[in-house]
Amino acid sequence: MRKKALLIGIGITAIVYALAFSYIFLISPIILEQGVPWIGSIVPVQIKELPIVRDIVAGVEKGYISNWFEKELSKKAKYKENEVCGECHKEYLDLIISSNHSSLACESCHGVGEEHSKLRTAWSIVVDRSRDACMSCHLNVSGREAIVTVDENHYPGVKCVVCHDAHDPLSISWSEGS
Amino acid sequence: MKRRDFLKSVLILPGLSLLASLGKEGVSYAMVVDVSKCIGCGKCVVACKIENDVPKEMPISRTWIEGYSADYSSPYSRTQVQKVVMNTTENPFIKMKWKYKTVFYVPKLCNQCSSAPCVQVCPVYARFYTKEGVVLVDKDSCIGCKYCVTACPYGATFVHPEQKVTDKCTFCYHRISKGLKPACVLVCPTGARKFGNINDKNSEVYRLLKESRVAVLKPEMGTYPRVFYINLDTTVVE
Ligand code: HEC
Ligand code: HEC
Ligand code: HEC
Ligand code: HEC
Repeated sequence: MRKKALLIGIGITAIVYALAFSYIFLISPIILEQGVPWIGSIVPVQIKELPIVRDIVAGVEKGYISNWFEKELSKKAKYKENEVCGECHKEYLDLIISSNHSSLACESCHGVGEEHSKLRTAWSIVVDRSRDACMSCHLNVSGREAIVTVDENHYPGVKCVVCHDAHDPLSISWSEGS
Repeated sequence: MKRRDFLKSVLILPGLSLLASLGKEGVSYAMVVDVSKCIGCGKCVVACKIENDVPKEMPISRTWIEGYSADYSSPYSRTQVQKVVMNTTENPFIKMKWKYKTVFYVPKLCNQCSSAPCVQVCPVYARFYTKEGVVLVDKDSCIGCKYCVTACPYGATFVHPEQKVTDKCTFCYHRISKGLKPACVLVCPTGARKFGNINDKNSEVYRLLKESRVAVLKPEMGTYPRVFYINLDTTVVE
C-alpha cells in the first residue's frame, strides 16, 4: 500500500514537472516570441494556434504587452564604424590605418556621424582644429601612461594640425628652419 | 499501459528539450576594461550620451569615468583617496590638480550582473535578462519607483529626466545585436575597453579573460558581473 502510494506520488510529480518544464522551456510566450531556433521543429503548429498563446501574441502586437526586445532592437545606431566613413572617405581611412592613430575611430575626433552619413554636407560633421581637441588625449595630465603625451610647451600657440596631419600624426610637415 | 511505460513516456518531452539545448553554446557578452590603458579622455562618456539620448549637461550617465588619486599608507585604513567623477561631456581631468601622486582612471558602467539586484527588486518586472545575459529595462512597464536605483550596488542606474523612467547601460543592445561594437568601445582611443562574446574562442575578451588576472567590482555583493577589470586597484576603487 505504502509502495503504491509512493509510486503514484512520484508519477504525479513527474507529470507536473514535465508539464511545467515543457511550458517554461518550450511553449511559454517568451520562448515563442524569441524564436528559439529549434522550437519550430518540436512545437506543433496547433500549440501556437491555442487561444491563450494567440491572445498573448496578439497583445504583444497591439502593444498591450510591450514588446521588449523589438523595442530595444528598433533603435538606430548613431555611431558608425570606420568602414562606413571609409566608403566615402577612402583616402583618409587608408591614411589612418597605417598611422599611429590606427586605433582611433573617426568619430572620436569628428563626433557622431549619423546625420552626416545621410546629408553628406560639411556642416553636419565636426572638424575641430583647436589645440584642445588634440590635448583632450595628449596633454600630460597625471595618470596617462598609455599614450604619448606632450605638455603645453610643445610649440605653444600653434595649432597641432599645422605641423601634424591629424590622420597620420607622425608625418610632420615642419622643419626647424621654416 | 504499464506504469513503468507511462513514467518513461512522461519523461520524453523534458528529455528531448534538454537534449536539444545540449551542445549548443549561446552567445554570452562581456566587457573587459583595462584600467592601465584608460587615459581619462572621456570620449566614451560623450559617445554614450549621444548614442543613447542621455542629457549631456546633467551629471547622470550610463557610463562614467572615475578618476582616483591615492596616497597609499600602512595600515591601509589611513590611505588617502581623492575621487573625481566625469559624468557630463565636460572633462574635469584636464584641468585637475590632484592632491596625491598616484593617479588612475576607472571607466564604469552597468555591470550587467548575472544575478542582478535590480532585476530582483523590480516590482513590475520591467527589468529582465536577454538570452545573451544583458540586463535590459522595459521602459513601458517601468513605473519609475527607483527601487532599482537603491538596489544597485554600483550606482549604475538612474532616472532619466526626460523619459521619467529608469535608465541604464544596455551594452548598446541595439548595436551589438547588429554586430556593431558598443559606442564607448568604438571610440575608445587606447583600446581600454574590449567587448565580445566570451563563448567565442577567437574573441578578444575570451583571450583577455584567459590570459590576465581580472577583477570584478564588489564581488562580495554576489552579483556576478559581466564587466571585468584588468589592473584594477581594488583597495582604492569601490
Ligand atoms: C555617403 C558618403 C559619406 C559618408 C558615409 C561620410 N561622408 Fe564625410 N563627407 C561626404 C561628402 C560628400 C563631404 C563633402 C562635403 C562638402 O564639402 O560639402 C564630406 C565631408 C566630410 C568632412 C569634411 C567637412 C569639412 O568641414 O570640410 C569630414 C570631417 C567628414 N566628411 C567626416 C566623415 C566621417 C567621420 C564619416 C563617418 C561617420 C563620414 N564623413 C561619412 C560624404 C560622406
Ligand atoms: C585625431 C583625430 C582625428 C581622427 C581620428 C580622424 N580625423 Fe579627420 N580630421 C581631423 C582634423 C583635426 C581635421 C582637420 C585637418 C586640417 O584642417 O588639416 C580633419 C579633417 C578631416 C576631413 C576634411 C579634410 C579637409 O581638409 O577638409 C575629412 C574628410 C576627415 N577628416 C575624415 C576622417 C575620416 C574618414 C576619419 C576616420 C578614418 C578621420 N577623419 C579620423 C581629426 C581627426
Ligand atoms: C581620441 C584620442 C586622441 C586624439 C583626440 C588625438 N590623438 Fe594622437 N594618439 C592617440 C593615440 C591612442 C595614439 C597612439 C599612442 C601609442 O600608440 O602609443 C596617438 C598617437 C599620436 C602621435 C604619435 C606619437 C608616437 O610617438 O607614437 C602623434 C604625433 C599624435 N598622436 C598627434 C596628435 C595630434 C596632432 C592630434 C590632434 C589632431 C591628436 N594626436 C589627437 C590618441 C589621440
Ligand atoms: C610647430 C610644429 C608643431 C606643432 C604646432 C605641434 N607639434 Fe607635435 N611635434 C612636432 C615635431 C617636430 C615633433 C617630433 C620631434 C619632437 O619630439 O619634438 C613632434 C612630436 C609630437 C609627439 C610625439 C612626442 C614623442 O615624444 O614622440 C606628439 C604626441 C605630438 N607632437 C603632439 C602634438 C600635439 C598634441 C600638438 C598640439 C597641441 C602638437 N604636437 C603641436 C611639431 C609640432
